[in-house]
Parts: sequence; structure tokens; C-alpha cells
Amino acid sequence: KTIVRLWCRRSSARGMRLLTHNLLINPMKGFEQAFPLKLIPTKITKEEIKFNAAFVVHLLPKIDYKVLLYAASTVGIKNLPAELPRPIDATQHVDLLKALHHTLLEIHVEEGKLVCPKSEREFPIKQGIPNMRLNEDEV
Amino acid sequence: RMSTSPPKIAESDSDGEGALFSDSSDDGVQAAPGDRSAHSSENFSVPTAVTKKNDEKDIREKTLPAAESKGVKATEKAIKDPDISHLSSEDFKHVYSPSEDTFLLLDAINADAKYLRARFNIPAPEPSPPADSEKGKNSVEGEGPDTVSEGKGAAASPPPGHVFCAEVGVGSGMVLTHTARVLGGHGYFMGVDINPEAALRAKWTLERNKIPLFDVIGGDLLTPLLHRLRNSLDIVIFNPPYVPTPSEEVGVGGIVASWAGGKKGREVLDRLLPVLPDVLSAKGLFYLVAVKENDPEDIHAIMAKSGFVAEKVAQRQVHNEDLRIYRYSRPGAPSQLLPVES
Repeated sequence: KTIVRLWCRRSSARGMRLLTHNLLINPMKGFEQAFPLKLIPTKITKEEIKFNAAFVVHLLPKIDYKVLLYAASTVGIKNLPAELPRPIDATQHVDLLKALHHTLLEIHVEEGKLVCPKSEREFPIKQGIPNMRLNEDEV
Repeated sequence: RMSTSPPKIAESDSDGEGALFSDSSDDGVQAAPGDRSAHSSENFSVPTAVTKKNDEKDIREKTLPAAESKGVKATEKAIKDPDISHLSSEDFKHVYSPSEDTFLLLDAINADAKYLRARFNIPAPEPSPPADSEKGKNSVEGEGPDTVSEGKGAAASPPPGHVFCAEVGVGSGMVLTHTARVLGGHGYFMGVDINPEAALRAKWTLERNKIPLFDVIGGDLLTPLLHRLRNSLDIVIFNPPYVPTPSEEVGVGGIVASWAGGKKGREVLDRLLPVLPDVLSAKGLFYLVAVKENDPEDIHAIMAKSGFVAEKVAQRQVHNEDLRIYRYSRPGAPSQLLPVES
């Protein structure tokens, strides 16, 4: 059991996906518009996940695409188009959907930080978990 | 037994029947092989009069409810509980150890498996019948999102659904993991916990159980995600700190945060309720664990103001706690609520 436990923790390579970065804001009152948070990754891993075109199409309306382009650039992805075609089609645009799938779901930020664009308040990402918890004096 | 027909619109908190509604203790019920007896929790002291955990070891003695219901043949076994063998007594000093309330919530989600799949158009975790060749879909292995054939036939039938699911207070990750498994991994599963130690354990649990798409964040309720998740969450789950305690114990942090509920055990829940109508999708569901002391009727009334109806999907008397699981939804019966397969 101890071996399983230690293996599990050491091999834990998952981290915050760019999909999640696209949804995070500074939780402090009055900062709802402080979006996107600046993304400063210091450790990234990549892990394949089964491609599902329909799922990516389903995700896209929830994504702020400009923010995704920004986040992608911070992890070295620069091959995405400036704009998405409308409507997006699972057959016609399969290569683009695969690129979006990779960007949104297969990049893991294990270590780094998120920074509020207004207050410069830093939210650390440690062991793949962004800590958005506020201190007592910030609540 | 839970019915598998489309849900009736519950007008009041009516008592249900079946294995999930039990007033008796667990005496005499056979343990499911290997599954829950292994999840005995450590016994450590709780500083309040109403203890969330009882003094004996919390051994899961009830068997998993079968998928059968009156007149409906079981087509699948209930999904096994998640593997949490990677968590030790050391971990349970930091994170809430799965206890009777956790298990009741797992039971409720198990019982709702067909309802959930029908509501969100998720294929069942078994091979499609051979006659469905025109759909061209692969069978779902039960793990990982299905690969939809690219384009061909996608217009002919609706693609498998996907859920956006969030658990507030994800703790050890057991409930979120199990929900993901029941849904065959079809979706994006988010866990939030105010205690970053808990968030880490939840991440290990989700990984160990091979949930494909998830993220766990440290944070208070849903606040870091609220603004971006308008009308987006299909399932929200919350096993709140429901124990009535002095208000000063709320927000103390660490593991106490998992039970200290303040006045009527409602102080934390009452901060989440107002945001749910904004964040839940049209078909969205909210699963809540509550005890009688939380004044469930009052919770129902608050939710009803935003058009939600309550359904009590499970109840169990465990020592000094009258535990309930409620499911809130917006009423209505669009055609999408019919089962995917006949």
C-alpha cells in the first residue's frame, strides 16, 4: 500500500489545463472583470487524452478565444488561427479541432502562477493546483 | 428502489421508498466484497456536540444498490466505488475521510445513474446493439470520452452529451470521481476546496481512477469560476459542513472546515445558494447533503424562489444524524429527458 501511495504521488503529472485558466478570475469582490489572469508557467507537462471532436465543439462557446490564444502563447503554442471559423464543423475543421483539443486539454501547468491584471495579486499553482483562496484580510 | 422512469416533479419533500430510505442501522446487511469495509476511517475527535462522525469505525456495510427496479431488467452493474487506496490515515488528518454522508451521496448518485445519462444524453457503459451500425459510434469503454466518428452520421443522431460538473468541497475526491465514472468520463469535472491539502488528495484520487478530464482548484465555494460559468454547470454537488456549531468555528480552516456549519449548520451553504441559479445550466442539477437540523424546508423555499424543485433522493438515519440527499432541478420535461436507449 505504501508503494502504491508513493508511486501515485510521484507520478502525478497532471496540472491546470488551459481550459481551466480560461475560466478563472480573481475571486476578490469587485474583480470579476479582472480576466484573464496572467499565466506564468514554470513547469509544464503534456499528456494525451482521447480526441473527441464533438466535445471540443461543445466547449468552444464557453471559451474566450482571445484568452486561449494568449494562454497558448505562454506555453509555446503559436499555430492557432487569429479567429475561429463560424460555424465550426466537426468534419471540415478536424485539424483545427485537434489543435484546439491539444491546447485546451493536453497541456498541464504543474507549477507557476496566475496574476491578477488589476491588482497584481499572485495566485500560485503548485502540484498542478491553482490556489485561488483569499487571505482573511482580502475577504 | 429508485424508479428509472423520467422523474416526477416533486411538489414537496415527500418520503420515498426503497433501499435508499432507511431508518435502520446497518446491522445484518452483508458487506459488499472488498469495497467499502476497506474504507474505514480513523477515529479522531470532533470539537462539537453534534458529531459528524460516530465513534465506531465508519465501515461501509450496505451493499451497492442494484440497478434493478420494479419491472425493469438490470442492464448493468452498479459502478464500483472509487479506489482510494492511495490515501492513508496521515492524509485523513488533512482531508475529510469518507463517512456515512459520503456513502449516502455515492448511493444516491448510483441510483440516479440512468436518470443522469438520460438527462444529459450520455451513453451507457456497455456496447451498443449491433443494429446501430448507422450511428457509427464506438462503444463506450466506461473510461474516457467516446470517439465520435468524424462527421459521418453525426448529423443523423445527436452526439453523446458531455457534462460540466463541479463539486464544491471536493475533499478526498471520492464523490466527484464516482460521478465521473457513472457518467463514463463524458465531461469536464471540476473540484474546488478551501483546504489546499484536500484539493491535492482529490487530484490524486481523480488521477488514480483515470478520470480523463478534470481540474482541482483551491478556493472558496465557486467564487473563482462564477463569472465565467454563467448557465454552464450541468451538475453541482455539495456535501457542505452541515454540523451546527458556534459561528466562530466556521472558516477556521483545515479539516474543521469540513464540518463546522455555524448556526443551524447553514452558514456556508447559505453563501452558495444565491449563486446557483446563475451558474446552473437549464438542465442543471444540484445535489446537496443535509441533516434535519439544517431546516431543509427552508432550503427548498430559497431554491424555489429561483424556480427550482427539490426531490429527496436518499435518506438514512445514522446514529444521531438524519441524513438526506436532495436533488434540485428546474421543472420541465423536454424530449431530451427521455432515456437514450429503450
